[in-house]
Amino acid sequence: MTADLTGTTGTPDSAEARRLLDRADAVGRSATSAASWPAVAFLLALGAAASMGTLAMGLTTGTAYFVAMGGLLVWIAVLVVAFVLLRRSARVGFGRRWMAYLAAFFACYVGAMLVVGFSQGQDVVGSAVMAAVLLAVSVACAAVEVREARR
Amino acid sequence: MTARPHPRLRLSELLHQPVRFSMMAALAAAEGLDFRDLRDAVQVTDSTLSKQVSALEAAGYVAVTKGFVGKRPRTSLKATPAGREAWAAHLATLREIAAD
Repeated sequence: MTADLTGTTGTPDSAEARRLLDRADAVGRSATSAASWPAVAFLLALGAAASMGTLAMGLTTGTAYFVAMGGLLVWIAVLVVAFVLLRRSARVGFGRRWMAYLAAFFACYVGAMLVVGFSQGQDVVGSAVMAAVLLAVSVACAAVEVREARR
Repeated sequence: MTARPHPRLRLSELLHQPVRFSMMAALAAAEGLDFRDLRDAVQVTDSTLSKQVSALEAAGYVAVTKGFVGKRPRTSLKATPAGREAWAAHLATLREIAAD
């Protein structure tokens, strides 16, 4: 054996082995502790933008409807670019969780777009419900990611 | 009757080196780590980290991906399946020693 974590030569005894295991756990946590915040920020901002955009599109018609839709799409594009620029590292299992978050969000988003597409400014309750659903789903996904980050 | 060899004899010299030990601990907890995040976690200089990354890469334990985000270069590192397996075996051996 060449060296232990203190830089000295020799083989680890049981106390040293326990210290090394604790050290491995601590380094693993600290290396990934800040990795989740871009995803959490993205999910919260996406939920806010999508729910407000859905509400605006559901309550308007004509030119105002398309202005609201354009605003929503611009915000989604800004969020995607910011996420790509800010995200650097990922905790183990993030890819699988991320796909689940996006699948849940877009399933709700398709439903919301169908409701507001047929609303013509009339379906206030349906638009409000879908806006609330989008916000709830994105906040739930962000909460799951925060919990994973603290593990 | 042959005595069973002490677990310490199964410890990987490559992974037991202090900086590489911390690097693998960090990489095993991540799907992928940015070079700067790994450097901050291990608390070494860029040149020291580069040297140890090369050693782990040569052993097939770490995969390095270089790319650009905008005009900025970005280096990402991840533990390979072989690296994760070797790390898990190393930790298992340490647990055996700790239980002695």
